Amino acid sequence: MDFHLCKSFFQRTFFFIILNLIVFSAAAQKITISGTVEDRTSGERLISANIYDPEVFRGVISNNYGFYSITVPAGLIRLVCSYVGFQPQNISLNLTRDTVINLLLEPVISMTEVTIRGESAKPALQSTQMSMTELTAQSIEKIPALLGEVDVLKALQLLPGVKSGTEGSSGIYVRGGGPDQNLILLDGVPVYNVNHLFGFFSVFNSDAIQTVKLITGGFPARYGGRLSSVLDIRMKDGNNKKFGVEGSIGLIASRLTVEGPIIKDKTSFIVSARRTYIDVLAQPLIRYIAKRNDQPGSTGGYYFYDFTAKVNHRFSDKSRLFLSAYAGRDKAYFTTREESGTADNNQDFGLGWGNITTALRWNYVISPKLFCNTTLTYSKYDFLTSMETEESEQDTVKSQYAFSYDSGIRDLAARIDFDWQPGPEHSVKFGYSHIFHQFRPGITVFQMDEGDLASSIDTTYGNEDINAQELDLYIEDDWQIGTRLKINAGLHGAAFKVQDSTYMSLQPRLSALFMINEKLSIKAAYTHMTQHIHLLSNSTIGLPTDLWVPSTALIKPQKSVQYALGTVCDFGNGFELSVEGYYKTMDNLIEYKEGSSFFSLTEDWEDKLEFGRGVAYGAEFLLRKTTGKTTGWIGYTLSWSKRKFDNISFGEWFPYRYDRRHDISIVLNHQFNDRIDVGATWVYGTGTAVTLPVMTYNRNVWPTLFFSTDPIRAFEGRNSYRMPAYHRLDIGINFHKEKKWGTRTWSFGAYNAYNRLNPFFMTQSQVYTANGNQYTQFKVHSLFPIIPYFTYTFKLK
Amino acid sequence: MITPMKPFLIVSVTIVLFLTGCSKVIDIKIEEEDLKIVLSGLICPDSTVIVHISRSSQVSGDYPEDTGKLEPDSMIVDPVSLYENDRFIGELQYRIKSYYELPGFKPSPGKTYRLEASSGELKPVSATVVVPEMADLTSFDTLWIPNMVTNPTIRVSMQLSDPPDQENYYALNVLRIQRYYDGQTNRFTDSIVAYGYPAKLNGKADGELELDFLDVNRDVYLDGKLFFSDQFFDGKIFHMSFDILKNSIGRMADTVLFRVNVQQVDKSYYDYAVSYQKYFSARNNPFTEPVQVYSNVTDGYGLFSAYNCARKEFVVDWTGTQE
Repeated sequence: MDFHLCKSFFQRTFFFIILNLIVFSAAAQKITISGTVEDRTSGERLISANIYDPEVFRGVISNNYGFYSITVPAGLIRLVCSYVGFQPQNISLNLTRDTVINLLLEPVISMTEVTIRGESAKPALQSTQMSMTELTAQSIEKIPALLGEVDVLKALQLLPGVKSGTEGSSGIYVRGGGPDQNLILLDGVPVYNVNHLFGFFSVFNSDAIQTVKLITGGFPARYGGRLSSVLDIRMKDGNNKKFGVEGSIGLIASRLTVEGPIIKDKTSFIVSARRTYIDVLAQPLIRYIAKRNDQPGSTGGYYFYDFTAKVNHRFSDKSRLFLSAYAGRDKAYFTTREESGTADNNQDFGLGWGNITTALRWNYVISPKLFCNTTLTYSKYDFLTSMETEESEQDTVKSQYAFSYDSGIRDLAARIDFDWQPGPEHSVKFGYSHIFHQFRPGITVFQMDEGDLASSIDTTYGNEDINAQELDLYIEDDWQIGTRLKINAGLHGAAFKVQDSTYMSLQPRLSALFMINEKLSIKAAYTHMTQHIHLLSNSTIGLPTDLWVPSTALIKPQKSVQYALGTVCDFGNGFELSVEGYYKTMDNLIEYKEGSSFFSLTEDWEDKLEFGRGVAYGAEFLLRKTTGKTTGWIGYTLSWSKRKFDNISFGEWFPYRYDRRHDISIVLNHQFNDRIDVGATWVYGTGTAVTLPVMTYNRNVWPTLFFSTDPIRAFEGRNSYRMPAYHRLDIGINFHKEKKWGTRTWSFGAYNAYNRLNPFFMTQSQVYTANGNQYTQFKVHSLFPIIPYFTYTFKLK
Repeated sequence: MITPMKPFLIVSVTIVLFLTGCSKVIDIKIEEEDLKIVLSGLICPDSTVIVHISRSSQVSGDYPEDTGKLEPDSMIVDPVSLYENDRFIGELQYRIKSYYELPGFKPSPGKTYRLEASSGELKPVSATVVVPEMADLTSFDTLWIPNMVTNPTIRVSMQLSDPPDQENYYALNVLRIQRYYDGQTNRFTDSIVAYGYPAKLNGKADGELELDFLDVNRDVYLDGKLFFSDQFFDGKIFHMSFDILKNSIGRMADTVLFRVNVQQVDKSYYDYAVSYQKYFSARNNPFTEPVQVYSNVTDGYGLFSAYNCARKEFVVDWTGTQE
């Protein structure tokens, strides 16, 4: 061997090894950049803002408190931060150690700027989270609304996979699930009844809302307790830079929002209120009717209100405290006063329901890689109906009767959540929560006093309160594997203790993303969910008489398994298409027994129930245009949803009441300029499934002494008849004008612009003909014809 | 800043008044379904097989003209066939008012009977039932209640032995029989003058708690009978008792014949009674869940079922008792 050749070989090898060590060493140097993303003008933290490093093709999103953390190689760093409605921010820095960078984004002043800039990153394309949609308050306000009342849930009903119930209802039915299978969170606190005016409006005041996130599948492990969806609504924190006032005056309700700093850049507040004045407007009409019926003292009405408040204080860049509260109520009342000579008869009837929620929250950044949130919450929902009658003679009370029915649910909860970035490829979340539930399935109080002790009654009967505890633990990891594959794997554990029963479950969650190229990705998800509380709902009526009840020794927790597969494609120029298919099984569902009634007081509520299962499957298509002067989306869902109960419909599979084969929504907005924009919405849905008799026949059973003259009405199975299809066009136009004092907007529009008589409910009656025969006549009642609206909105500078 | 409120209020009130009257009604026509044959019959070993056959009517059709009676004389009805354990027994003959009978044949306990009927226009139907064994009454006793002076009372006590390891269903009723004498024929004939179930039936199985048959969640009443299952006394002796109060049954002769029927019924009859009771209670109430009346007729409606009856008779002499 030639010595020089050997020496050269070893020198080259040594040099190569040293070089690789140096490179490897440099590559192994990672740094963590963390901080918050805020609105520069108001100090509001921006949720789900996208922070992306184009050098290493890695990105993160800010959490529910605007905090982000990203681990990247040391050296020249490029970060791009973007958020809808804000100008993207580009940062280039040379960093060699962990650094806190608070990103302040500038809101877009003119919509035309959005046209030019477009979106700089594609969160949906690159996120493992599938079946999720995020809406901002601004996008919700552009959608034409019933009576001009902008509504969060109504906007969500326009998305594929999300169905509305009946006409005007704000309930949501997601992927074949019931209305109780949606976890609706307001700043992390569950809200149990989200309906005003019997479901025509939701309880959420859009002026106080910052973001709305709806997840319908592929649930990450941090969420639990419901089978079908998670609706995470976050309130604004309040402008910590300057005071602001905005409000609107509409046809039936007005709202006002006031926000501002208590200590500039440290403490801020926001207070928002809304009330309807239907009762005030209708008083002259009600008095006129009462007078015509010789009941001059009679009156009645209906009203609802919302009140939302939040205060937050920043102790330091690491520590922040929030206190938020919501109170809302609906009340219908009716009073009659009859006078006949010296005798008086007075009756008072009331029906009311409402929610109260409060949350105390503390954020703390433990380290650049570890963020902690601790929350204490209280939530209360109650429903009360009452009636009092008093008869008096010559100012002396002769008799009094009083009846009241009260039901509801109360929760007290503590929760702690951690966001941890152990490395560049992993983003871990874990946490624990403990909830104390108190259920009141229904208590009736009856009092009677007829002037003597012998006939006095004061009794309380019904269902006892039920206390329960729910514990949840979770851990999930968003794991980037290479440049194309990303997995979110997690486990959610739950324990529910009620009376003498304890239910435990382990719920695996898995979702995966594969980037085929920068414009096309495929996603898949597999999730187990368990739900320990149930909503007993009468299928024939939609009043707030629905009861929240817990799992018990007799009633097992509901369970579901969902498989989903989808793809997201970015066509460029703001066009994006997502296609998803899903298959979901549900077990331990509950329904009222055949012949049972909510109003039946002789039965305990558990004895009115049947237990069964369900299956739902379908495909959802969503084509969106997110940039330019014209934006919007077209959504289409093809789906099936069925139920099976041993003692309902003879144990055969039957369609779920809200099984809707085809569901189409088209939402369009066009911005002419900064002063004028128009919007239109068209929806179509297959008719609701109802139970209708199709045949009659006689009972003539031999031998018997009893012959029934009433024919039996036969049904071809539960929910075998389809109401006529539902479709509707809404249009609206907004005129904005800058004034010295601020901005004003006049909004005009029409709900149901082509006056389609959509079915609301169906009735049947016996009609007698001239020859003595009778037949059954069916009528479909339609509620809303074309309804024009106008609203005045103002925002003070 | 804000425009004058008066015109806004006027417009608002107008629109609210408009909205209060905006509910509209649309007449709709329900698509007609194919009519079906309706079978109605209960068979027992004590009598021949008699079945009522009719057809259903469109729910939106005229009634009573469209009463669902098949026209017997026009021979629309094809043979109504009866099979015993899959062996053809015979064809039921038209009797009167849509009743069909197989004369000279009485079913036997423990055997399976299948009825098939068809009409040229309607889809053929069939129904299958097993005739139960006779209810095993191991004891029957009556007793005066002496302290019921103002309202004479007879207490009837029975013991029912329930076969183990199988689901059994029962129906109970009490008949008051009036015996008439026909002077011309010199014969007595019995006529049922009252028919019903006991207002209060007490029951107790060996080793079990006493049951009070006033539990609306458990007890089923149909056609004057009280139906119950053996879920609380499976395989045991079931002790039952009820009272007959003289004043509760209306005017009676001094001497009265009572007949107590304890029927063991097929499950289909029990299911039918359960569903019909729910249906009847809920039929005009918009706040109740819809109820489908049970039918064991394939491709049709109605009920073809069976029972086997154990009877006990006793005579009560009210003479000397006070009203």
